[in-house]
Order: sequence, then structure tokens, then C-alpha cells
Amino acid sequence: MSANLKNLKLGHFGGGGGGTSAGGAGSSSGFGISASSGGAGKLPSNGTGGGKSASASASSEAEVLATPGGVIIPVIRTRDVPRLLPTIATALQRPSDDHLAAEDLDAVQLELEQMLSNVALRTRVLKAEYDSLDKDDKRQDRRKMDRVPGSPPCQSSMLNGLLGIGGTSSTGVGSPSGGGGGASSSSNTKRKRDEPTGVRKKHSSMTILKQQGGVSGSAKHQAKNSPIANHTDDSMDYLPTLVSANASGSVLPHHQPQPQLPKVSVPKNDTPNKFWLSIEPFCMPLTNEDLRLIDDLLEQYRGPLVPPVPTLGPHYSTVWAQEDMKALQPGGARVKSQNASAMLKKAEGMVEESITGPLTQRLVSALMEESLLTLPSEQAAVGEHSNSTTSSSNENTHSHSSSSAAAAAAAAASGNFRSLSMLKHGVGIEQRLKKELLENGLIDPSEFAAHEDVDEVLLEIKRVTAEISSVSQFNSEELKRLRAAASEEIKRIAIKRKLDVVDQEILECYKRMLQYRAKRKGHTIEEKQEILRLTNEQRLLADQLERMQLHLPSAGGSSGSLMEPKM
Amino acid sequence: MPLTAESAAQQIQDRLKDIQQHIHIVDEERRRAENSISSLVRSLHATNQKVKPLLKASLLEASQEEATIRAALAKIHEIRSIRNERRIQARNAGNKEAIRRGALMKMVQLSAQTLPLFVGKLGERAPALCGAIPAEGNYVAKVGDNVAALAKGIDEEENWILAEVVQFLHRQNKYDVIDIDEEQKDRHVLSKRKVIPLPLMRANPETDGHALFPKDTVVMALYPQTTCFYKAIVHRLPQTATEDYEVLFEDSSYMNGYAEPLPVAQRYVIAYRPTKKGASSGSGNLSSA
Repeated sequence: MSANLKNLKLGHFGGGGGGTSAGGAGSSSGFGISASSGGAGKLPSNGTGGGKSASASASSEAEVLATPGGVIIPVIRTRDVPRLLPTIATALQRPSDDHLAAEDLDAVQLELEQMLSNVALRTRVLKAEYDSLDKDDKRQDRRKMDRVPGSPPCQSSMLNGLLGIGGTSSTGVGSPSGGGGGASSSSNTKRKRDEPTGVRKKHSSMTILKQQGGVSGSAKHQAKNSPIANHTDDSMDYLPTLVSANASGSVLPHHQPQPQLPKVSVPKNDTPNKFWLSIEPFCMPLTNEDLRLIDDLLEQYRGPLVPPVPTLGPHYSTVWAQEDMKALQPGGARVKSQNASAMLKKAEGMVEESITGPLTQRLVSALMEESLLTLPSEQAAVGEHSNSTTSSSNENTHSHSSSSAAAAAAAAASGNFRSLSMLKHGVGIEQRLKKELLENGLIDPSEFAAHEDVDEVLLEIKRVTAEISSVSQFNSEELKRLRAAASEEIKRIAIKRKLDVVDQEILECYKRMLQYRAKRKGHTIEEKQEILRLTNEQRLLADQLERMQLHLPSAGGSSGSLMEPKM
Repeated sequence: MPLTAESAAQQIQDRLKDIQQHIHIVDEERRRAENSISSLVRSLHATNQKVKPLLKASLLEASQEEATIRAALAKIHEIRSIRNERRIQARNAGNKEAIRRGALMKMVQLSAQTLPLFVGKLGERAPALCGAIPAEGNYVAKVGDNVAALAKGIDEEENWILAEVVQFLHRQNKYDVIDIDEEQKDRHVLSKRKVIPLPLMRANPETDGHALFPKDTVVMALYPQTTCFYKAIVHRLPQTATEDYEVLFEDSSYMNGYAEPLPVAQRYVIAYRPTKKGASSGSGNLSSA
């Protein structure tokens, strides 16, 4: 075994020697792997020249400063100083009473910090080692007291191997992760020679460590103290002396005698209770309250759903026209209305008389100014104004015709047909306008179809009312049926209650009978009569219930099945 | 007592001397440690007997070495602070050296690289303003500290810029900050909420991984070659103390909304703070980098 270890020490970074010898001794396999690859990991990743410096080094020391368990103790080797800490190396060339070159300050700071980090890690590793040794000693004492039959020793080597491998997955300066486990397992193997019994307790702790180490070790090559390892950090916190995650992870299980298995209690299966609770409102016996509810619902359906449609009143255009005339009139109320309707009739007549149809009317009113449609007293001015506008605007046929039509309309409105001469332009204006608009696509021919008689609104109302009435009909039928069923059910429930009461009484008699028999007393005649009466009553009620069931076969089908368990 | 140039230089020289001495001492200690460790390893492989005392001795040596290194580093920081004081004094005295863009960016990078590294002792957790650990609620940034400040630009746009604290106005609870890009010559007075102090120390991934922002965290990071912070997502953590984060900046010109990973030093990656504009970003989206 010692020969193997010597091989390890002399092995190069490839770990060839160590690797081959690893197959031999089972117990050293673990740290064979870990030490050699740990050695590669120990030097920083930019150390490609490491091999050269190693061979060039005159020191006969081991390549890798690691414990047998594969824990790398972070130390910056002297031979690495020129490479890792160049500025400090040059500073070291100068005597110690000289001052540092000011321009080196930043580089020196960074290198010093590097050294500090190294020292801090070294402290942690050494402390972990120390503590593990301590615990092992304590364990040794405790184990000597009570021997526990241990599992075969070879398992520890497997764990070592696993831990060692787990340790190598996280590289970097100092990797106490696997090393921590390796440390304890190394001390484990040492103890193994003395006492195989101590192994078993460590197994349980090792497996936990392995899980923890595996979890964080298999993290994707992150710094082992990266936040992913936080969950192990927190668990380490109550060891105030140890901060580094996995190194102390190895120590932790030693503190606890055995990991506490979480008490898994099968939670009470509550679901069926919840289910029955949820459907309870639907299965409760009916009451008069419910009946009243149904009656209320029925109320809604009694009257007609939709108020009757009133007859069609006067069209809004006539109403508005009347109102407008009233507004324009200066005089009193009744006179106004009479005048208004009279004037409107006259206007209607004039409209029919004049050549201008509805289209021209619209065109004209759009083109004419609002002020022109005012009191009849201003007719003359209106007429003149329109005449002047006629002459001034002679652009296109439309305006021409419209202005002439405007003149014509104004003339008509004033009741003065003196501009009859203009009418010759207005002949056929309506048709011309219609043709013009149709050609331009501004009006559809369908619009000219007579659609006065079709009252669309009324049709819509009738249709909707029909729909509603059919639905409400259906609803009221259902509600009536429901009501009937509910009242039946209530009667049935009453009978059931009576039945229950009778049953109870019978039971009591039976109990009394038993007591009498127990006391060897004969039962009295009253008792017998009582029993007979009760049983008769029970039979009656049951029959009644049966009959009721038969009366309502449709609803009774389900309720019958409900009753069966009762009976 | 204002530092004159000569006294500052003198102090720096003294410290440089100290550092040199420390370096030598550290080297000796390191050699000693190396030897003892190798003998320790030998004993571990061979016998069990002398392991414990050797371990103890190694531990002792390690702690000594650590102390020396820390002392040397402390001296270095003193030198830096002296230099910083001189710079602030010079600026207050009024000589504004115009720093070219390239030089400014180099300075920004350098200050990030030479930010002191926090290496925790055994059992020590990273303090506030180390890496991703946020500042305490009542923390007040010191004069000369670098911060990220939500400042209004010319066109009323708010951006998180890299700025330096000039002073803290206690009564108003506001910071007086100045853009480190002195071309802007902008001095902003901002409430405490709009100022995030940058970390004062780097976190060491090897010893204090918990002080780093986890992968896929939303952060604000300084866009390389600029002095503005933008919303980004952490893509890769630094593996060593000198490495940078790799972050993905929000960029609407990319398909998935995020650009290629860019390196940003630890110092310039801070926790994301949503602004009123809220949903999208800490300060404007990068549509064209």
C-alpha cells in the first residue's frame, strides 16, 4: 500500500502512475483519482507552463500538496510565484528597505488579494481537516464504548471514489468539496484499519454528504461557493467556525449522530368528506320555504311579458314641423297650433304643386342659406337675394338649376309665383337631378322603391315577443311541474318523519322487552298492546309512502331509490 | 487639515516603503507555510501521530500570513485614499482637468479593478456594500464615494448615471452629486432615494459566493464605455476575484429583447431599482447600442 502511495506522489499531472496503481488497492483508488486530477486542478487554469516549471524545479517535494484524501491545500508554491505574482516577484528582487514602485501599486494590490484569498482558503481547509480529526478522535472514544456491527469495509472505498470524483468536478484553487469528503474518508480509511465498526456511522453521514456534494459538485463547473451552493451554505451557518460550503459539509455529518428522517405522516384523506359536504345543499329535505320560492318564480310568468305595442302615432317629421311652426309664430297657444297645422297643410299642398320633388328640395335647402327660410315678411328680400345669386353663380348645371330651383322654391314659399318665368328651367329638374345622382352612383335605385308601409320596428318587436313568449311558456310549465313535485315531496317527507317517530318508539319498546327478558319479568298487556299499535301504525305509514311512490313514477324513480336505504 | 502635494507625496512614499517590507515578510511567511504544509502532507500520508500539532502550526502560520497580507493591503488602501483626497481637494480648489473620454473610461475600469477585495475570515459573512450585499437603510455615502444617481438629462429624461458624492445635505436628506464625466459639468441635488451607493468592496467568488448576484437576476449595470446604468440580466458570474460579471442588457433591437453578454465589473452591477416609469427599465431602453 505504501508503494502505491509513493507512486502517487511521483505521478505526473496526467496521473498515469497513480491511475494505474489505483486499480490495485481498492482503498486507494479514490484518492488516486482525486489526487492526480486534483493536482491538475490545483494549479490555475492558465498554468500551461506549469509542467515546464515542475520539471525545471529543483525541489524534490511532491508535485501536489494534498492530503491522502485528495484535499488540495491551497498554497502558492515558490516556483509558481514568478508566474502567478509577477509584480510581487519583481518587487522581491529589490531590497526590503527600498520602496515599492508606485506604478506597480495596482498590480501588487491584485496579487496581494490573490494571496489573501489563497491564505483564506488554506485556513478553511486546514481548519476542516483539523476539526475532522478532532471529531474522529471523539468518535473513536465513543465507538470504543459501544461497538456497532459495521458493514464491510469495501463500501467506504466506493464512497471514497465517489467523493473523490465528486471533488474533481469543481476545479479551481483548492477544491475542498470532494476533498472535504475525501478528508473524512481518508481519516475513515485510517480508522478502518483500527476499527471497522466506526465505518457504519460514517456511511450514513457519507451518503448524505455525497448527496449534498453531488448536488453542488455536479453544478456546472461553477465556483464552488457560487450562490448555487447557497443551500449548503445556510446549513453550515450554525457551525460558526466553518464557512466554506462543502468542506464543512464533510464535517457536519460527524456532528449529528444520525440524520433525522423526516416524519412522513400520511395526511388524512379528507376528500370524501368534502365531497359529501358540497352536495349536501342539494340533498336536503324540502321545506315550505322552497315551495314559496317556486311560487314566487311562477308569479313572474303570470302577466303578459311584453307590454302591448301602442298604435303608430303621427310621424316625427310632421310633429317636428308643427313644433317648428309654433316656434316661429309670434302669437298665442291655441291659435298657434291651429295656424301651424293650417300652414303645414298649405305647405304640403304647395310642395305637391311645385315641380320640385323631394330630391331637389333637399338639394335646395342644403344650398340655400338658413336665414332665407325665415319669416314671410322677408320674402321680398329673399326673392331679390335669390335672384342675384342666380345671376352670379352660373358655374354648372347643378348650381344653375339649383339656384333657379332655389329661386323657384323661394318664390313658391313666398306664395308668389311671379318668377314663373324661371320655372322653365325648373321643368324636369327633379328627373334630371335623379338621373344625375344615379349616374354618379350616389343613390341606389332601390331607394326609390316605396317603403313607407313597412314598419320594420313593429316587425322586430313582434318577432322578439314571439321568441320570449315561447321561452316563458316553457319556463312556466317547468316551474308548475316543479311545484307539484315539491309539494308531493313535502307530504312524503312528513310521512317519513312520522315513520321515524314510530320507529323510535318501537325501538324503545324492544329495548324494554329485552330488559324484561333479562330480568325475567313477563311483559304486561299494555306493553303488548303498545307494541301492536306501534307496529300497525308503522305498517300503515309505510304503505302510504309506497302508494305515494307509485303515484309519481317519474319523479319517484329517483326518490324511491333514496328511500330504500331508509326502509 | 488639507493635504499639500508634498505631504501627500511623502505619506505615499512612506507607505510604499511599508508595503515593500510587507511583501518581503509575506514571501518569507509563504515559504515557511509551504514547507510546513509539505511536511504536513508527508505526515498525513505516513503516520497519524504528529498530524494535529502540524496542522495547528500550519494554521498559525496561515493566520500570520493573512495578517501580513491584510496589513499590506491596508497600506495600499491608505495610499489610494490619500490620492483620492488630493484629487478632491484639487477639484474643489477649482482646477478642472479636462479628462478625455478614453482616459475617463480607463479610469472607470481601473477603479473597478482595484476596488478592494473582501476576503472573509473564517466564519465571517460579507458586510454591507460588498458585492451584491445592499447598504443598510441608514447608510450615508461618504464624500468622494461613487454612486448611481437618477438624474434628469437635458431633455427631461431620467437616467441612472455614474456620479460622485460631493456632500450630503443632512437637513434636506439629499445628496449633492456630480457626474464623473466632467464634460457635463452637471451638479445634481437628489433625494436619498434617487442615489444608490456603489459597492465599496468586491466579493471573492471563492470564499463568499453568497455576496454575488445569482444568475438571471435583474440588475442595473454600467454599459461598457459609457457612464450610465441600464437594466440588465446577470448571465454569468465571475469565477475569480478579478473576473467580471457577464450581463445581458435590455435591447429592443434584439429578438428576445436582450443583447449579447457584455462584461461589467463587479463594482458597476447593482440591484435593480424600478423608477416611476416603471414597467420597462431603470433608465430608458437601449434600442441602438
